[in-house]
Amino acid sequence: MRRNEERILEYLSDLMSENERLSFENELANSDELIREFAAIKKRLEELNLPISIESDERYFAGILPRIKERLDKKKNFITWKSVYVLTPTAAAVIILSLFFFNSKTEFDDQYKELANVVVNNFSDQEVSDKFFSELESNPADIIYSTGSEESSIQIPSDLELNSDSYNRLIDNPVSEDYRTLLGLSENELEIIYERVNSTTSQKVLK
Amino acid sequence: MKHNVETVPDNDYELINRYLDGEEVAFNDIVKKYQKKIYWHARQMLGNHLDADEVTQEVLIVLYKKLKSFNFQSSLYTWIYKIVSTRSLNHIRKKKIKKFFSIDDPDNVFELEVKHDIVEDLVNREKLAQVKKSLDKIPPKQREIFIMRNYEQLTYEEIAERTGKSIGGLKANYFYALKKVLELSNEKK
Repeated sequence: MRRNEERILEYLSDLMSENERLSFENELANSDELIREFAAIKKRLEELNLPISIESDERYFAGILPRIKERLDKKKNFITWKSVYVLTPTAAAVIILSLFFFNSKTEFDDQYKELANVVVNNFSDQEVSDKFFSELESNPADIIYSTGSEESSIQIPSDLELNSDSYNRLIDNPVSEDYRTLLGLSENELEIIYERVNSTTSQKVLK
Repeated sequence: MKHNVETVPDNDYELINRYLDGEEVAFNDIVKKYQKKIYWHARQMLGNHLDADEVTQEVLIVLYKKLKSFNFQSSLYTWIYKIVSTRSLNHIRKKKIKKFFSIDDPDNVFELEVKHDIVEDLVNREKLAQVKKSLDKIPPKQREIFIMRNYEQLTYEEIAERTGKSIGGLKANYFYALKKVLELSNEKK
């Protein structure tokens, strides 16, 4: 059974399904131990609450507008020179970077697709989250966040060979966004996962 | 005693149209209406007055320049909020890089922050510092969700509208933020 702390946080984050939530609330109404743990966690989270009203120096807010206007005036004078000095090197940098990314895209996509196939077809979200992201700087939720597309518009490329279970999992469960998670990773991060996926897959097959 | 109460028109649509018609004073009204919200969101994200002040000014300058292209597809505040949010996250990134190469004495930086703080009440200032210390350890994007849920009391739907992120992603982020806060509180004990 999962630790209560994890379940309480899932409940507070509204991550539970309707059935899970009802069952948790039912348990909460009948278990003194769970009530105690729930109250303790709430209390610890409330330690970060801010005072209801914070009095601040109103002179600061009264002075913002004049400062903004002053900065805007300065910028107007600066902008002509800036365009001459900045535009030329910027244009050159954009051209060089475009060429670089254009050339490396295919290789990157192939590596990514292969990896995505392995991960989404072999592992649950929890496994992906627990095992493959522990060594990364950011956690999966962070990466999901940065990809930023709408839930309903999740796009799965035609050449990604998903089995039906994995497909349903990706579409139905709002937490199952490992596909998009992978999309946001850097090449170094992908390499770490790729190695771990390979070793875990071998272990599973051997079992 | 007579109070000089400045009233700011409530209707954003009217304010923007007046600004688009060339009425400069309408921009002043928009600033007066939203500057505190902008500042406090930045302050919670960045944790100190100096950084919050910098971002607040940046946001208002962006607002001045881009208001002409505002297309009324969201509320004005939602649009402003997105700018504050992006600028705050960028500021955190920039500061991280600066910190890496910096030889500044952290104690001096702290003293400077305290000296310039606009919060005069010592108890509140200490509370803010304590919250900053904990929130600094949460990744910025999770911190943002934590602030919006806990301090601004926003629903996931409202946060999704302001940030353009999926509700599933927001829930996952909030979960990890709470988890991190608990871990930190365990470490303290």
